[in-house]
Amino acid sequence: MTDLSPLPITEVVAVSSQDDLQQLVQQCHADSVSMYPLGGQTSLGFGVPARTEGIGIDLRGINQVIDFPVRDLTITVEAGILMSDLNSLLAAEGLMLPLHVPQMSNATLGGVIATNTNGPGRFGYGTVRDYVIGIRALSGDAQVYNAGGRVVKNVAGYDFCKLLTGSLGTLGIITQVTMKLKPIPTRQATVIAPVNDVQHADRVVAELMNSMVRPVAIEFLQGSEFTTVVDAVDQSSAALAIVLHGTDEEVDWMIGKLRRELSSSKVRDSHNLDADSHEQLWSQLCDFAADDTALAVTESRTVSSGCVSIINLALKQHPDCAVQSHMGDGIVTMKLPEDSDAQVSDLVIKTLGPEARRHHGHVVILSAANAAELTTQSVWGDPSSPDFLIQKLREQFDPQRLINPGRFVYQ
Amino acid sequence: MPNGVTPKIVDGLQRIVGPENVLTAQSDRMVYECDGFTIEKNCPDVIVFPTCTEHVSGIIKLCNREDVIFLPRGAGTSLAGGTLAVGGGVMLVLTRMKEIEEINLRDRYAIVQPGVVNIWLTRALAGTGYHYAPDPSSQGACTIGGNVATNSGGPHTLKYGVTVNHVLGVEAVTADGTVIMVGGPSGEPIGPDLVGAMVGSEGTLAVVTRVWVRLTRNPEGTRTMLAVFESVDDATRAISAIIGEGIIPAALEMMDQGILVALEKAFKFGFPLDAEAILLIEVDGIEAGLDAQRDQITDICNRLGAREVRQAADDAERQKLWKCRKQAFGAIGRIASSLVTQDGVVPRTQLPFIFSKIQEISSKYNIRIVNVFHAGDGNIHPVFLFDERNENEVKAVLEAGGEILQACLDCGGSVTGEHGIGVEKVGFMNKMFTDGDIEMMTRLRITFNPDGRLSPNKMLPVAGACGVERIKPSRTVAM
Repeated sequence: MTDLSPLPITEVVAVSSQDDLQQLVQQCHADSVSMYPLGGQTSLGFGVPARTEGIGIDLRGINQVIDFPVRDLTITVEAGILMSDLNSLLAAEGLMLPLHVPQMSNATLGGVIATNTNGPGRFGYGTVRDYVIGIRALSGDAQVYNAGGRVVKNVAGYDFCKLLTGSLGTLGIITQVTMKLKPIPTRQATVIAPVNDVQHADRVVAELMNSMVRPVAIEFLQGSEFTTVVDAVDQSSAALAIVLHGTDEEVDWMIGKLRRELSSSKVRDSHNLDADSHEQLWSQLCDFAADDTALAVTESRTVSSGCVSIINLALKQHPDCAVQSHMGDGIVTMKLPEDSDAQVSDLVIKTLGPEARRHHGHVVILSAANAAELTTQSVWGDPSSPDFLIQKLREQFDPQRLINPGRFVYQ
Repeated sequence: MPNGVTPKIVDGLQRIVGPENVLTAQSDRMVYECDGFTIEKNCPDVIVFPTCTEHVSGIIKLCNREDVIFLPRGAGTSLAGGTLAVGGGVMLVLTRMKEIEEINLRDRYAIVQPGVVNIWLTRALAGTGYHYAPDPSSQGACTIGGNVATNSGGPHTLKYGVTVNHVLGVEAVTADGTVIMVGGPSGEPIGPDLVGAMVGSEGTLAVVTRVWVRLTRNPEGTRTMLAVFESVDDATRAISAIIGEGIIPAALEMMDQGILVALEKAFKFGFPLDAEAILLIEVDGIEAGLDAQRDQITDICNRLGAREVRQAADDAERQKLWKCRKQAFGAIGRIASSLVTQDGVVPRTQLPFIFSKIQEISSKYNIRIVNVFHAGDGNIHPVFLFDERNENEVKAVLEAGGEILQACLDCGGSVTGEHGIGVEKVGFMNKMFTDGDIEMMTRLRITFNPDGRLSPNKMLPVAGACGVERIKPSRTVAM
């Protein structure tokens, strides 16, 4: 059992059907009891420590497959399904949901959507919002509501599929979704490009953006945890991992082309990983942010060209940190080791945050060992979303503010 | 009831935007009495052309102070009456906000004002190796602000996604005149995806004044194919086989014999007139994989009874094929005095079912229906050919259209894939959604638009609101 301590949960109620859940929410609404929806419990530490006691609702029992019309490339499932279960179901039909999130065997699909968690493949495949085409949720006052449908193109009604993506449970509990799927590519490969420093990586990425090679992921890596797979990477040197998907013919062509381009970008010793190492690195890339031994994990989200200065700042302030950056997408994940002397809130508020804002972005703290020092400002940086509107939305969708009270910037 | 537009309001508007940006004469306002959905018409009381965000905010604040209704409009290509001024009021026409403010290739975004015509951005990007992916057939006229409002599609959405997949952020003015900024070039705001909720909200939540759009790399190569089928059934089965085998073409369009005849008269492309259906299939990507994909698609089509599969010989032929497709509706004008099109969606595997249903409905009502589908997406566009002077035919067209949309819903689809609800399909919302769904959609609207002065009587069936009487259809042109 996961430690629920980041949340003031008095009791956990496991529900096994959408009807049970509706009754439970009705009851909580009637009695003004706070609710903490729980999926795979992989993001309990996300947000400001909550103070209002309430019940935890374990949603993993709501996990039925409702409809899987394989040839339509869509699937309708209940939201408590584990990502790993969903993936095996899809893989058996040659299909995939290309959201490469951490902790696949714990995370639930509903949780992934509510937290808008994405992985390295976002450069080539897009993010959660691009895949949810139908949704059902339960508002804080126990109203069941749907939007979208089961077809890939649909503009009828307001798009709650989008609205609920990233809503962190504050606009309702997601119970059922329809997802768009993709065929699994026949071949996957990783090319490693050792780089001199971050500036060098940035130049390579800028050129790669204009290449005919179409990577699925462009990852900047620095930190000893990558050394086992990528020799070139340790605390003092870095590499780019460029991941390619396609048919054999396409991937072979891309590898050749990419390596030629890399050598003209002054990358020496670029090489491709064998299939096992590719697999191993890929799961490492997906799971990087999930590390409960770290002092803290922060994520900076800027434009792509902003990565270089964020990474430089991070490494300058804390040379002992590990960095993974989805450089094509402007995402920099910084992991501080357990024994780091970093003041996490200060680092985010005074150093990384202002730099991120200069590049049209912000920084969030994904997790921190010492939750007590987290404040709204440090967890959320300086979000560009208009607070007043989200507060009003919250009032409409959860009038008593019973779901996840006090955890997020819009209370 | 909100107030009418008084001389005082006109005066106030002129002070905000200058007299040259306000139209009040009946003859001027007539131009704005309807959009691409011409069945219902109503003149706005005054037309105002803001040229900056501050204008939009000032106009909206004035409308609130004076308690008058208002709505935004782009180029007026909506096919569902999204910009019909139900109840009159102030119409904000955004076509004079038409700057492309920034193109940033390194970070793959552009900032455009809402009145920028879709194709202007395509042209501005020519030679850069990038493009803006959503390409509605009306792209020569429609504005990006309007595309955002309706979440427009187009033939290439099959692989690249619709407008919402390419909008990173918007600046908008809410119904009380507050300027908000949601999302931005980095495209990853915290919390609920408000950008996603605003795209496709048909002008009922806010007036968009600036858009951050994603730029997409051009493919290295393209293969465009024409597959000719003896029967529509075979063609629709080929569509679901192609997708079912894991190939996602850039575009996959179907046109039936009725359309082909019209196109041939208009463009003399050399379409086989005795074929029941053709598929226009395009794959793109890196050259290395394209011939293999083309061969695989050719095999599937042949296996499913294609008479012939041929590849566009060169770019000129490809361009001509796409011109035929995108101007299909114009061409139909040559063979019927009036036409109306529907916009339904079915799961791709239900295409054979829905096509036979359309034929059944066509003979039941004795109305000629020709078909052009964004087939890969399951998005159907049956086109009804009739004579609007014949009242019985008009009635039959309306009933037949309703029956086809109901059939789409019955097999798990939607009543609109890209045209929107507007005023045209408000009556279908209750068929597609539960009272609870509509209640929550109303709550979303109230959050942004609490007094309902912005775009009233659109999209949601509002209790007690005066709906628009469906009188008669006339020529409407669709994508």
